[in-house]
Amino acid sequence: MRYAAISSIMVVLPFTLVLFLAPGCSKEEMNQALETAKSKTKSMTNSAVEAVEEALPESGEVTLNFKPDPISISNAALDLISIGDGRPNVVQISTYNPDASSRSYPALLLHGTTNMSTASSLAGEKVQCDVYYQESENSPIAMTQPGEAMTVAFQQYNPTDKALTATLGIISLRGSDGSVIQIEGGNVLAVIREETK
Amino acid sequence: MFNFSQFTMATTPPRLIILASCTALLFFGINTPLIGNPTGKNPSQPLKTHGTIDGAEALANELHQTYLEELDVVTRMFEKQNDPASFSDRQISKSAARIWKARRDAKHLELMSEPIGADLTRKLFLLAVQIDQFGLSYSRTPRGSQMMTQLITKLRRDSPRFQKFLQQASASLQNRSDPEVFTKQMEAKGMQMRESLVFFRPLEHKKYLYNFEALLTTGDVNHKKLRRARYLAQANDKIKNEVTSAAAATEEMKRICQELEQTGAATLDGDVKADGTQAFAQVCKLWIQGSANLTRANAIEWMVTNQTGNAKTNEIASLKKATLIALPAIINSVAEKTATEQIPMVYTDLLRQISQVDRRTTGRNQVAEACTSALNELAKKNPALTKSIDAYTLATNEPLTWRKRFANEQAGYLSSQQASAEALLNSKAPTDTSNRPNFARRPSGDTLMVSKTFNEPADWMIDETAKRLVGQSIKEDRLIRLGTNSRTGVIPFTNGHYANVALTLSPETEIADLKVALLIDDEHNALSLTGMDAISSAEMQDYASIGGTIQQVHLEALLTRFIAFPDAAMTLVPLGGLPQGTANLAPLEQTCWRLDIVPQWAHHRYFTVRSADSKPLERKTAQTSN
Repeated sequence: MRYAAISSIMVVLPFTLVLFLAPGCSKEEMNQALETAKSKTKSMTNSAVEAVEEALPESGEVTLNFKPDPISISNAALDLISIGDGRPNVVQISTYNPDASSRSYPALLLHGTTNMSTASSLAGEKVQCDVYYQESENSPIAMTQPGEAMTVAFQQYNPTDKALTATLGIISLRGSDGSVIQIEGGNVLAVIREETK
Repeated sequence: MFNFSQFTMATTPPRLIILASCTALLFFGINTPLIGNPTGKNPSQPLKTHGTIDGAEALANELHQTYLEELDVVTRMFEKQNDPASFSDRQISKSAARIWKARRDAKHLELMSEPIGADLTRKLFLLAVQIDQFGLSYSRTPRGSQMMTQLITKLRRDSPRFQKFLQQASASLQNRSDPEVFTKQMEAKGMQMRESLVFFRPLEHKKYLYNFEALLTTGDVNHKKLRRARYLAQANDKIKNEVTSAAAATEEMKRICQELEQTGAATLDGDVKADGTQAFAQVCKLWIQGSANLTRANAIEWMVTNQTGNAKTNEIASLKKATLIALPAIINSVAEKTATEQIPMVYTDLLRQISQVDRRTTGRNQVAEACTSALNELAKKNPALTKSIDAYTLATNEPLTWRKRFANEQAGYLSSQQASAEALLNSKAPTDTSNRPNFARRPSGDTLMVSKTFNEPADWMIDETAKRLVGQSIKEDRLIRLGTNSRTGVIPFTNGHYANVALTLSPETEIADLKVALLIDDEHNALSLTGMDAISSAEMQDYASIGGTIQQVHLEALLTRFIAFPDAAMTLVPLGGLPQGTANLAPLEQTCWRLDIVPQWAHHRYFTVRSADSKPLERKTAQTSN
């Protein structure tokens, strides 16, 4: 399906090394992987922390400001879906691949609607999103309370990486076990995965 | 005394007027003044009759009244059992005779396959035992001894006349005279004899009765044969009528499909020209009507065969097959005849209908599976719609997946403190006989919360069970709303019980939130079957499970429930199936418990909703971020 072509964008560093060994790769794919690996290698010459930060843009990242300790989730992809029948378009940011047989954790989904029809035009826009979050496979699920939404303020569009940055608003989530989970904002760097027009 | 071997007989119920408004009456409302079913609040209500054999209902009413009067007599006498001299011999005679006749009439009710007949047989036997005891006790008092001397003199004096009567009775039997007349005369004489013999030990009865009992038994056998044939014929007529109606429903489906295919419209009830979506709704309605016909026919078969194996399985399968052919055929016709710009509206209308009927079938998605191909063809007629459907599915899939998991987990926590219906109803508790008549109070061990058979008088059973169950928390699966405007949901019949659930929860906030996730507003509906099922089930308040408090318990008879079965109650039996009785138990003896539940929470597939006064979730764990 549509995700099949896109999922390769989500490949992270360790897997790019595997690509060298994988038979059947096209020349373009090999070159792309090589370029990616080069950039990673370059960034890894800095300190370990910086290297991780530098390594992330290709797959995106989300930081959620939980108290007391914020959490970072590598991988964040954005879908902008147009239904085409007069409804608003859907913005969806996920930290996992919806097509994969199993989810990666922590898992986060932000889901909202916008009148913008291209990912680039989202820059500067604020979108009210439902939040869905689960720390690990066995932990309770958290989501926004009915009628509430998190404000996702998109900041910049990077045409080279086809990525968008956004800041996340403060929100109080309810847990499936009755707990309350407070998020004091956060940041997103999401690569554009899907853009239907 | 008289041992009618039990056989069962079926009748079709008088058709109740099937109107949406009657559903409330049926499940929560007013019953006929005398014959209702016993409830925890009113345990002495008699079991409802299906009343399909002429005279059954009137006979049941009369017998129940006799029972209540004699119960009163026996209870009062039992209070003075240590002072038999205070007994009235006339009262004992009168009661003995009435109870003797009433027991015979109760057997007749059993022959009519009325569960109340078996119940009255049980109740009247207990009264007869007491009256016999009072008679003997009285006969041993000084006043009783004097009376016995007079009685013996009288019986001896009357003996020649009585023997002459017996000779005439015997001749009447040999001449095959009218059994009705024979029975009537024998019963009159039998009552007369009981008035005296109640004061004698059973072994002495023979001395005064001669061959009366043998003659009566022979007459009963003849009479029973006659009645049995008559009732069987009636039962089979009713079955035939029901099956014919179900077959007519199938034919009507075919006619609608043909007319729609040929003309683009179908003539429905009242000569109304209907479009495809209305025709679709009509076929679904015919499926419900035909299923109700077959459910009734099947229950009458239980009586005819005296077992609860389902005889109409093939017919139910054929009806389902015909429906699942008709529905996609209608969609195909719709695809042919509908203007391109109308297709999105028609498409969502059909999606809603499909989701609605699918939740009322034995297995989910059967209707959807049958219609998928035709629906896809319909959508293809409008390429923009096809594109929108794909995009809509993509845009709503993830939130639905998350919401489903969230709701599942919440429901897990919500139900963790509640017993499932199966566990609760199959648990045992000590018996408390304090509300029983004074002659029946005795210590007793643990018994099941609900009994699958009528093994004691129905009023004792309902009192016992209601005392234990009312106020208890219970979790039930699969709630289906009775009708679009009904304030009642139903837990379909399973495992000997069903439940009525008051739709008192307020899911408006959750529905509004779900609509946001499903991109639904006043102008836009769900475009995927999953999305449509989510919203239509939420709006209908069809829930995956509920937890609540049992507010009332009703004891019904299985036979009566499914013979006197209005079409509007079809929610009790998922389409494509038939109610399952308990194998190896006589149909006449099987119970059908009804629980009235006030919900504390409900689990919709994509959210949970709690009553305003319910406690917060039990297990609260602070979630850490990492």
